[in-house]
Amino acid sequence: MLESISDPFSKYATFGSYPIDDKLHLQFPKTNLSLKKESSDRYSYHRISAASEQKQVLDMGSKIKLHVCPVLPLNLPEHKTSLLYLDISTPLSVGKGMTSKITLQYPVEIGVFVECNSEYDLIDCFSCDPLLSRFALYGSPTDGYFCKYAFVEFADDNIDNYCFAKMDVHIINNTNTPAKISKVIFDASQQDVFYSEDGVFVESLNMVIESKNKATINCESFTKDCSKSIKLQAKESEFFVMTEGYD
Amino acid sequence: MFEFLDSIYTFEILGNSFGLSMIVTSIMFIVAGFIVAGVVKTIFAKKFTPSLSEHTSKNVGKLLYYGIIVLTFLIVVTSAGVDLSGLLVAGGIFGVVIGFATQSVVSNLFSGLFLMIEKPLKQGDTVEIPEMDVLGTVLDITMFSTILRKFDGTTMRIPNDKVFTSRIRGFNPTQARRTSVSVGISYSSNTKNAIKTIKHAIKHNLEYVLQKPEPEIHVTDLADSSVNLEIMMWYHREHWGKIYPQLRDVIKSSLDANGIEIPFPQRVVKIHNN
Repeated sequence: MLESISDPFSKYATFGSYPIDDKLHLQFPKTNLSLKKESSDRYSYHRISAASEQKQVLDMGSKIKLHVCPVLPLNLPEHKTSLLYLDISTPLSVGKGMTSKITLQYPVEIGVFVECNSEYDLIDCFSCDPLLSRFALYGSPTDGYFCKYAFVEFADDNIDNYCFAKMDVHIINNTNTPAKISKVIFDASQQDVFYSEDGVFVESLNMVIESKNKATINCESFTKDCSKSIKLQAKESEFFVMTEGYD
Repeated sequence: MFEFLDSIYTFEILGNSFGLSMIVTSIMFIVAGFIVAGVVKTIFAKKFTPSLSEHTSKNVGKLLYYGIIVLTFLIVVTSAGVDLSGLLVAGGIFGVVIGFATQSVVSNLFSGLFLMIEKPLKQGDTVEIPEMDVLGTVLDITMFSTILRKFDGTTMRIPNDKVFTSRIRGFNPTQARRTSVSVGISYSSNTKNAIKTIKHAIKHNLEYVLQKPEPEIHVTDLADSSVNLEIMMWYHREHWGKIYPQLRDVIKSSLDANGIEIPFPQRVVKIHNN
């Protein structure tokens, strides 16, 4: 019945596709989602979250499935930018000429899609932790970059897969002094989100520190065998240059 | 054909003789001028609008349109044999009279041109003109006036010379903007606790407030009845409408929920028996 990757010990629904009979009820952390058949090809959709509520009627045919998967954190509270500002709770110092690899928490939103004839239409998007749907400014008010913002920690095995993915960051310090890194700003539209039984992942980043205030960040394609999430944003750029510092 | 038309009707102005053929030709030229002006304006709009700002392309389009029409009139008048030099001499004297009479019109026209060149404001900008107590979005800048839409939905037409000589506060040049709110808490309340409470409330309830730069709260005054706090926070320039309606309510609710009093004005009266 359930065509998704399931965890029998979890009370929460898992990412994947769900066929719809008369009704469907899915539970996520702080979020309840239900779908009820009203007539032969009409369904009512209702989602209650900590921060918001969504109700709508779906008139999209009778042979539909509900597809739920993690998506890039660029849609809530509204899509305004593709830049993501990750504020790292514990700064990392990388020695001069050294390389380092860290794994960070990466906020994800959950996209709800209607699947019909192998096509996916987004009907809703929510976050299990509303505090991850915030904005920040990188740089000055006149020339700065408007970004989505999240305060994150180094990822470990106890990561909440409904709120965070794991992201590797490869850091190369090309300067002659140690570099203290407390934030990473990059264009998230370069990345894809993947999920499997092992968790949620996004493609890793390469961060090359070029001077005291400058670092170039680009995305490295992912090689793991996982399901790929539906992407809502087109790629906007190949790399991002942090010119306002990384400390 | 022309001779036939002239034989039907001929008249004289300032010693110059004009036939019906001249009138017909002139009308044809003027109509052609209007058509050419319209075509040029359309071609300009299609070719150059994507690369220019809406405001600039609109004004250059207008300039081309009216420029061609004026040029057409001059061609028609000179080709009809009218000597404009006499008109210029007469116009010189007449111009002084007209100049005094239309001083404000000319002033507005030139102010409009300077507004288009200097561009202190452009179509779509949100601006405040403090001298006129006007805050709104620029709808259009015409040759003589600037039209603003206020936030109550009404529009206001302001003569260009008034706009040009006024202070203009622009809200569009920067992405982020800061707002501040003052609130007074009672002297019996713990200031640090109040600041912590307000910061927590902003973080959890105002999703459009920027987390970096962080909201700042300072004690600004030890006033007669309260300890005054100033709360400053940054937001994206387009998100003011999402923050403003909730801001004070969020602050008050958080203080109420934590038992922090916002005091009324009060005076302590001490009565000495002796």
